[in-house]
Amino acid sequence: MERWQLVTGITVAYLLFTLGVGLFVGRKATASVQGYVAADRGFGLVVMYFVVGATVYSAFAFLGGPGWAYSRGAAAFYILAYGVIGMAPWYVLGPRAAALGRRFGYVTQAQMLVGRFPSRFLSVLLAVVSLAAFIPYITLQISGAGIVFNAVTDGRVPFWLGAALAYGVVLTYVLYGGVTSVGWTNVLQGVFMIVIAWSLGLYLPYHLYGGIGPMFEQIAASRPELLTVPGLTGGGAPWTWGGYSSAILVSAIGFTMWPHLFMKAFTARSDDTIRRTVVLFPSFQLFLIPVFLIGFAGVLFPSPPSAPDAILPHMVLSTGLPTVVVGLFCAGALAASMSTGDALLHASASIVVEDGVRPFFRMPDRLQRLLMRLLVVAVGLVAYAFALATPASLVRLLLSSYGVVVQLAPVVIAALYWRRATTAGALAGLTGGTFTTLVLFLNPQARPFDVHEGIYGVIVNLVLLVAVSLMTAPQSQAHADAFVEGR
Amino acid sequence: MRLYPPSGLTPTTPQVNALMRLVVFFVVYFVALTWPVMQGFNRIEPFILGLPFSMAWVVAWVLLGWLVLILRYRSDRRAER
Repeated sequence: MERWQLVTGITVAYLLFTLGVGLFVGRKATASVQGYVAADRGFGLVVMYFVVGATVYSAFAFLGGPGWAYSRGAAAFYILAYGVIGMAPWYVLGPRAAALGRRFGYVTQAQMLVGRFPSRFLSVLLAVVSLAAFIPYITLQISGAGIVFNAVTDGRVPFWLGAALAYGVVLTYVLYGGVTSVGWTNVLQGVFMIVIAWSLGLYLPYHLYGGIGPMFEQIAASRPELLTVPGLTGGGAPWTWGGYSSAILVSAIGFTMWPHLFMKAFTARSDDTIRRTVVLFPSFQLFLIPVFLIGFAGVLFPSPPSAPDAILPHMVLSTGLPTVVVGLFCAGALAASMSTGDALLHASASIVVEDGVRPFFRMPDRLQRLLMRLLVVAVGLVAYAFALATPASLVRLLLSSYGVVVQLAPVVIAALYWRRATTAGALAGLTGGTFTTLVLFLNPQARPFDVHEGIYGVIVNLVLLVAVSLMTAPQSQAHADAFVEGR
Repeated sequence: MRLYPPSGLTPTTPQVNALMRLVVFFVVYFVALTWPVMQGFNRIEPFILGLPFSMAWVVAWVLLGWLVLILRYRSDRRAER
C-alpha cells in the first residue's frame, strides 16, 4: 500500500471513530431545547475542561501557531500571553452567569443581557454581531481541514473533498446530538491534539537540531530578531509594541466574551465545575509551547513551505517520519479544526434561533429544534462556500471579529455589576463601540500607536454606556437587584 | 449544591477583597508581559531550559497565573467548608 493511502486510511478511520463517539453520546441528550443547547446543564469537569480547551485551540493554533512562530517569531508569544488573562474572569463571571441561567432559564449570552436590558433590538443586534464574528471563524476551520487533507495526500484528496468529508462528519453529530455530542467528541479530540502537539514539538527539535537549546542557539546566531518581542509583522518588518500589547489586551477581553464560550457556562453541572475548569485551563494553554517549538524548528529548515501556515505539514512530510505518525498528525490537525468548528456551528444556530427569531415568534420546542438543525446546515454550507472561494481577506476579517466581540465586554460587566446601567446606555455603548471599531478597521492608518481598533471601540463604548445610562431613568430597584448582587 | 457566590446574599468583605486581589494580580500579569515592562525582560540570553529568556518569561507568567488560580480555588474551598 502506498504511503498516501495509509495516511488517508488512518485519517478516515479517525473521522469514523469521532462520528461514532458523537452519535453514541448524542443518544443521551433529551429531546428539548435545553438538551440541545445546554446539554440539560449536565456537563461535568472532564467534559467542560476539554470543551473549553479544544474549542479555544482551533485549526489556527495547530497550523497558524507554528506559522506565526516560523515567520513572525516572538510575535506569536502574544497568543501564549493572553490565554490565562482571558480565562481568569470566568472564575467570577462563570458562576454568576450560570446562577442567572438556572434562575431565568437562559441558554445564550444574549438572553442574559436582554434579561437585564429588555430590548428586542438588542437581542437581534447581538445575534447579528455573533453570526458576523462566527462565519469567518468557521470558514477558517473548514479551510484548515481541507488544507491538511490535501497536503498529506500530496494533493490526491482535493481541498473541496477533504473539507467536505471532515465537515460532513461534524454536521452529522451536531445535528443529531447537539451540544452533548460536541462535548464528548471534544474530549476525544482534545486528548488527541495535546498528545500530537507535545510529541511533535519535542521530536522535531531533537531530530533536526539535537535538542531545544541547540535549536534556539542556532536561531539566535542567524535570525536573532525572531527571538525578542514584539517580533515581526507578516511582511517581515519589525512589529510595533502598540500592536503587540494591544493584541494581548483585545484577545484577552474578546476571549472572555466569545458568545460560544460564554454559552458553555450554561452547560455546566455546577459552579464548582466552572471554577475547576478555569483553574485547570492553563495546563491546556501550555499546549502552545510545543506548537511554537514546531514553528521555530522550521526557521532553519532547508526547504521553505509553500506558505507559513503550511510549515507543520511540510516538515512532517519531509523529515521521514513513519507513515503512521503522519496519519496521526493529520487526524490531530483535523481534530483541532473540527472541535472548534462544531462548537461554532452549534452556537451560531442556537443564537440565531434563540436571540434572532424567538423574541418575535412564539414557537413550540419541537419547531425550535428543527429550525436550529436547519440553521446548522445552512451556516455550514455558507462557511463551506466561503472556504472554497477562499477570499484572501478572511484572516483580516477574523482579526476584526475580535474587535467586534470585545464590544460585548462593557455590556456584560454593566449587566452583572452596575445597577444604574440602563437599556438605552447599553444600546448606545454597543452601537457606538462597534461603529468606531468598524470605522478604524476600514481606516487602519487612523489608529494612534498601531493599537488594535477594538480598544478604541471599547473606550467609546464605555463612555457612551456610562453617559447615556446616567442621562436616562434608572431601572427599578427590584429588576437591577435580580442581576446585580451585593449591597 | 452550594452556589458561589451564594446567590442573593451580600458578598462578604473577605470575598470582595479576594476578588480585588485577583483583579490586581492579573493587571500586574498584563503589565509584566506588555510594553514597557516587557522591554526589560526581552532578551535572548540566558537560555532557560533551552528556551530564549523572552519566551521563558512569558511561560513563567503563565505558570505563575496557574499557581495563583489554584491557590485561590483552594482557599475558596476551605472557606466553603
